[in-house]
Amino acid sequence: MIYPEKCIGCSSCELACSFQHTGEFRPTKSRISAIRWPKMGVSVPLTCLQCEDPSCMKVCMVGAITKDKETGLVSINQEKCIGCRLCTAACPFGNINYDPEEAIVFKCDLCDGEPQCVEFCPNNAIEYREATDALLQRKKKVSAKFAEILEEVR
Amino acid sequence: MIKIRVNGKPVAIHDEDKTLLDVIKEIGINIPALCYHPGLPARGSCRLCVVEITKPSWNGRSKIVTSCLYPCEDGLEVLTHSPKVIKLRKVIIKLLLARCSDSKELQELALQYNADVSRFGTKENEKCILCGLCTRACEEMGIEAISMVNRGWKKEVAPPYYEPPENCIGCGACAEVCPVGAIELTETNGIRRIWNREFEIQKCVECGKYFATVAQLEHLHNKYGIPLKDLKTCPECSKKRVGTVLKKTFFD
Amino acid sequence: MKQILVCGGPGCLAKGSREVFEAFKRKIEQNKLHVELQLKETGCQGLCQKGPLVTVKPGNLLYTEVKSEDVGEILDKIIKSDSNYDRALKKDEISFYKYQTKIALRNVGEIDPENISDYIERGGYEALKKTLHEMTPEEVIDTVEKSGLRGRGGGGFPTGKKWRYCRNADGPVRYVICNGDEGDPGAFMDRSIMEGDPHSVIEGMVIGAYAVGSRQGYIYVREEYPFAVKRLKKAIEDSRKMGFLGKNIAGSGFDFDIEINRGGGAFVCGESTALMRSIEGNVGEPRAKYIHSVERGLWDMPTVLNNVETWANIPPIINKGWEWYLSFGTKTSPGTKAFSLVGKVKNTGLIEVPMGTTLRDIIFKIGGGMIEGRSFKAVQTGGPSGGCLPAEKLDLQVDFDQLTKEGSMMGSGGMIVMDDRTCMVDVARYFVNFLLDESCGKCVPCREGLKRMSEIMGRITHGLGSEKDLEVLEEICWTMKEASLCALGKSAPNPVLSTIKFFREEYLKHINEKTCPSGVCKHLTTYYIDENICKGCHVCVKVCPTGAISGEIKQPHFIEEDKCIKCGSCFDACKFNAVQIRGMKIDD
Repeated sequence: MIYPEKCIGCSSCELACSFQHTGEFRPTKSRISAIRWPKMGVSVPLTCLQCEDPSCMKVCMVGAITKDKETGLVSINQEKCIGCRLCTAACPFGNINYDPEEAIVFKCDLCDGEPQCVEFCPNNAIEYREATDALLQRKKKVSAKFAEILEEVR
Repeated sequence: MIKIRVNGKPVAIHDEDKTLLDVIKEIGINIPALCYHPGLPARGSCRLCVVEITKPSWNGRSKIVTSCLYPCEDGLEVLTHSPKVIKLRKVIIKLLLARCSDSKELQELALQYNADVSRFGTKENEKCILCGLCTRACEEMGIEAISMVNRGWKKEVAPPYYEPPENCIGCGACAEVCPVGAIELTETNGIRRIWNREFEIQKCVECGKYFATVAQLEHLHNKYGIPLKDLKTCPECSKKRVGTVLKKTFFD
Repeated sequence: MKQILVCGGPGCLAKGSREVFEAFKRKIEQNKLHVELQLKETGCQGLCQKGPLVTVKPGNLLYTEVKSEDVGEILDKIIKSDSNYDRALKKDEISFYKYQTKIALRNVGEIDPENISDYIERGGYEALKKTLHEMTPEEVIDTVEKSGLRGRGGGGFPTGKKWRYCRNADGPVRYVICNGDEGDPGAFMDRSIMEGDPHSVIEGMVIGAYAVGSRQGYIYVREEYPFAVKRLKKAIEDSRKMGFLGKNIAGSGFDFDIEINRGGGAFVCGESTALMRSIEGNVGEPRAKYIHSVERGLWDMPTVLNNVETWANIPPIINKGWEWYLSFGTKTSPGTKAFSLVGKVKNTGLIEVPMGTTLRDIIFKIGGGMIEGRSFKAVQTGGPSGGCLPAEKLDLQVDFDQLTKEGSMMGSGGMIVMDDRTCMVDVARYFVNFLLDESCGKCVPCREGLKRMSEIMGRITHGLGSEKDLEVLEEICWTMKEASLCALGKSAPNPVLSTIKFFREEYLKHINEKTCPSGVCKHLTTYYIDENICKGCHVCVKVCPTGAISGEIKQPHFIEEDKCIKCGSCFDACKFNAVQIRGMKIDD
């Protein structure tokens, strides 16, 4: 769950994520990004939504992308990936990226259940926890508004 | 549950669909397998992943099998580096090197297996080892722009009639899976070249970055019905767009 | 009623048997002899060397090398029942036929293959009826298993066992396939059965289908056999009409039908898994058989594939019982085997003998020995990937296991007899190059191994080989045998290994002395004329295609070496043995 109103655009999540996955502090290799509007003092953290019916998974012909039935995690099996990169274009949220240095596609893997972005976010703008009714309610509300606005901007 | 022994060490296998190679890799033993890719159906053509197998009931007889295809059978004893296996791999590496003398990947393998290639007295400088990973990748993609043509030593990988393949989407998976870098893929000024065909690369309508071939995007549109206009931004800009919407959701 | 059977087998057709048939037809019509004479065109009658063949019944009299001009005279003798006619050979007495036992070929050459009544008259479709009405599938499999019948396509896998595995395999449908992709150079057994007795194959397949529980069968015929396709098509149509194929076969409630598939001319498609890929419409490449075809074959369904000869053996086994079949052949290879006997023997042709018959009996009794003036050097069995066996092995009793033990194989049953003017290195080189072109190229040992072997064999026959080459050859051969994907690659080294084993001296002559003792390898051979023997008859000058020979009449001639292409025409033409080949001993 993200709380954009709490996000201060500090980049801690990006640095923690890239360090966790590549051993370097390089936001370009981060699976999470904070989109910033500095003039407004506003920013929004964004990462994979672990969709119910993921587009990336649908377009992967070799079964390298799977969704875990229990945890809901959508993950990439790098060994199986044949590098067609269709998933990067198919994700409507831009949450799968291609790393030309490593020649791999990458996305958020929830750090095996201990997301570092959550760990290092100084203001609790990102949360990772069991869904409660209240949380789901909030999610529903946000989604509805999100969909509405998305329709407008399209 | 299936129980086998690999190089004497007992291994318990829960997934009966696994091949010997799956198991061998899982327990950290490294054997060469040039025509193998976990995402593609096994083909058993390079023969480098051969192992020697036996069972107590076989009266001391053993068999040479390709581990990428052989299913796990209860009671199997597998030798991944028996003298016979090593000798076979050695000759196979030599045979491959005689065909592709300049291949760095094969030269490395030859070094590893101490395979002296000069014995055949021949050196060809083919690049392709005909492992078929590229054609299988293309087939799995549902494209089949390239295939194996001709037979025997005249076999090669090619698009139909050696023409630039019409149905190719320029995704580059073929080049990506090639174990010896035999497929040429270049990108300059928004043009990707592969299989003698040029592909226009889509420029992100937001930032101007080149990110995927137009043919790839059209393929996504045709096959999955994703609106083309949703496919014109690079992942970063897609993300930004979502961010903008979210910003509006929360702050406006 | 008397029968005149004109052979319509491939050999006789090529020698003009169709004209002979037409001549008989005309004469019979002209003289209104229909009432007492029945004229038929049959499949191969066997003795191809002496075609066109005509058999007359009763009496089983054989006329050889018949021309259309002879027809009047032969008809005359037939009508007068003149058995003293010296041209008529008694088929049951001449050695070519006497030592044969025909089971698979029982009707080939005896019936009109396009006439289903002919087949039925000789007991055809009795086994089918017996199977469907009196036997359970289990009993059929039991009978075939106990008969000990092994696959005639070359592998020799027990047929009954194969059927049982297939029957027990899980799958919503099952298929049976007849492999008619006979591609070995010099082999024509399966062709002869498909062309000469197509119903025996169909009947066998229906029985097999009933046994394993299949409702659809395929006959895969190689592209080069259009005549077989035509005959099989006709036979399938006829048997459908008679209720032996299709729905509710012979009123039993069992449904089964057969489709014909034509190959595309690839040798490798004779390999069972490649054949199935080909029927599916894919490129004919073999796959590993770790999961057997009986479990996952055609379209991944349980499939039984047997070759033509195997299927043709089924009806008699059902009719006469497994005990009867076991009375032929050897302990491990019961029954008989058809061979196409070709090469430098007097009687080339299509034969069938009990398993265990010695090579000597086949070559010297049935084959009539070597052609004039030539001596036996080797016999090659098993097609291009079989091996060459020398004179010491003539007493070998031919069956699956004996041939394999000696480094050759049964294959589908080609048998090529070679004489002293055959270079064994060249023979091995020929087969390596054949296989090089026919390898599917899927796996590395076969594709790359054959390429390198071909180069080395080329070097040796050009006099550029070294003894190390033999080591390298053996190393490649070993790797191919152990690590190739399919039987083609695994057996491809046989010609090289068997010739190195039995004719090593000949290799060493090529390598160390740079000579080809048989005068075959052109780069190692020089033709010259011995002036002490040459009578100056000029015959050689006339046959030389390049004008390399000159000389005055009645004066010794000579060959200009740089014009000579070493074709051997002068050698064959010289009546005085004046033409000699350097390196080859002619006198002894």
